[in-house]
Amino acid sequence: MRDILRNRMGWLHAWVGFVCGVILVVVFTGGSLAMFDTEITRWMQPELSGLSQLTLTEEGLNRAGEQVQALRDAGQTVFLNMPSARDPVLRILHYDGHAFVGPALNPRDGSDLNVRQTQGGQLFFDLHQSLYRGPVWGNMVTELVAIGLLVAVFSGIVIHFRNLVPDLLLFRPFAAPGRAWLDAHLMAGVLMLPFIIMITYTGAVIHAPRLFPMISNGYGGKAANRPGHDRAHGIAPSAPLGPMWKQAEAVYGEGNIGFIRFEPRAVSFYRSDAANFVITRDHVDFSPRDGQQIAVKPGERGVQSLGGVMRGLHYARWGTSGLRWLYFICGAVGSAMMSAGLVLFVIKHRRNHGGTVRLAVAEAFTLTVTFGLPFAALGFLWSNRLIAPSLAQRDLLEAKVFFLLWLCTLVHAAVRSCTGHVRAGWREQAWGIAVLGCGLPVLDVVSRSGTAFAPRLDVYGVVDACALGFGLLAVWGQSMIARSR
Amino acid sequence: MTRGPRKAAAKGALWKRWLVRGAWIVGFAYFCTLGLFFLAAGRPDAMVFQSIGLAVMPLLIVVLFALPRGGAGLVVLAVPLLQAGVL
Repeated sequence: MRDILRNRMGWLHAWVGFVCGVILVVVFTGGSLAMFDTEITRWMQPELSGLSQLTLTEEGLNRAGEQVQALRDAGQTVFLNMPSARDPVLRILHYDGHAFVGPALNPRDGSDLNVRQTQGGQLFFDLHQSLYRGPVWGNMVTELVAIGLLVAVFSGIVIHFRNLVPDLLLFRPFAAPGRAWLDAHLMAGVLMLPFIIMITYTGAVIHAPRLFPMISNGYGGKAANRPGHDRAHGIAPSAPLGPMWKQAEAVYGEGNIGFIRFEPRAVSFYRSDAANFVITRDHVDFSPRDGQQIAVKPGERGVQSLGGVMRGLHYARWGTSGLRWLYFICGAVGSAMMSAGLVLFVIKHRRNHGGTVRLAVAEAFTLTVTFGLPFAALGFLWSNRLIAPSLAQRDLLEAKVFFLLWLCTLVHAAVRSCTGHVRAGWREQAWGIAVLGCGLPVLDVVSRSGTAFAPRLDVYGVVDACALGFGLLAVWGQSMIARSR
Repeated sequence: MTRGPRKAAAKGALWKRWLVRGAWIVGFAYFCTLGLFFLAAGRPDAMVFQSIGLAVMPLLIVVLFALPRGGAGLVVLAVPLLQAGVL
């Protein structure tokens, strides 16, 4: 192998791409699912399926405020999430280290809707941003692999610069496996290039403080804006929230309040992230004693709001459901592109290192992140309906089921790789996805029998349809694997 | 053309050379970005520089890896000077 530019870039692209790619597939798959985290959470709380669109009333908000007060008196740090088009209920939330969880209330009268405890779609959000390993080490790893992805993308552009247009058009799914995977990798890579660069760069900028701790004030807005520990639980709002809400809406517009945060000296009504492209966290503060407006605090403006622009681009909370679908599809195609790259790496090294433990490990990881993760995600949804709704700490149990299933796929992949039957391993895991995916709509109908046959397209129908679609795709995928030699 | 065991040895040597070179380049790019952040700290437009730094870091890694040894050495010298000049 000569030391020329193309070889150097090829080496950099292959090794950085593989090492980072194993994690990046998880990050991209988790991120794609997290685009619909709220909707997945609703699917995982079938008790909400019978609710029609409810209007928030002052009475409902006042009663929710009383419940917040009781929780704060008991020493909990909570905030109140306002109803929105995506999630039509009031939620009293606290951060459990991985997700914002808590009871859901009827926005009309503030009564508890008795929904089951679940981390819901936020498990995927946490998996996406920190691999479920917390905000320090987890974020640092995702930041590192984001930089790695940018390196792989730039080196990939150098390698294929002359053939970018043909790569965009050429796809031969029935060619030899190596050629078919390469076509898929190149086509998806070129097609999704602007999205991948944008989403990776904005993600890297958002979490830059983890890699460069000295800039913690720049982009670390999210952590800083999370409700922190409330030292003065005794000083709770005695004034009703309803009148404050009306005043806050007069400032930001009707339906533009995202959440209410309770601090010792102020009750803050934050503008919804969906209200504006730039996430600035503007808020109106009220006195907790008499409900008088204290101040209107705008977020950063001008150059200072660059962090908010990055977060706005990355999270797309301002977007319509159409935009979120676009992000979801682009993320899923990006994930498939990286999976194809991992498979290509394994195929290439199988020629020289076939039968070695190193290659078996690489094959096992490739299979586990490509098929094992969707399998575990579907198993997570199944566990939601199979675990008793009233079981204590069932949300943690669901998360354990997810990671246990994922571990099982790793063990299965390792066994199949080490015994030289990796192709059978791919087919078996594809069948696993097919069974869980195609069976999920049936499970949903059975476990939600009271409202399952209502003639409307809601989150339940869409999640079921997506699971069925992925199940059928897996059936097709395993038949392709069986046919290829 | 090199063949047999010599080919394998040459390939292994090249692989190790690139790995060592990659480690040096990543370290250098990290400290360049770190330097940029320190120099930009306190400025009202610091965030712009930080964003640029994060975009340039992976580009710098690719460029340094693409350049032959002499060219990479020149860039290594030029980048800190450029930082000092710009800021």
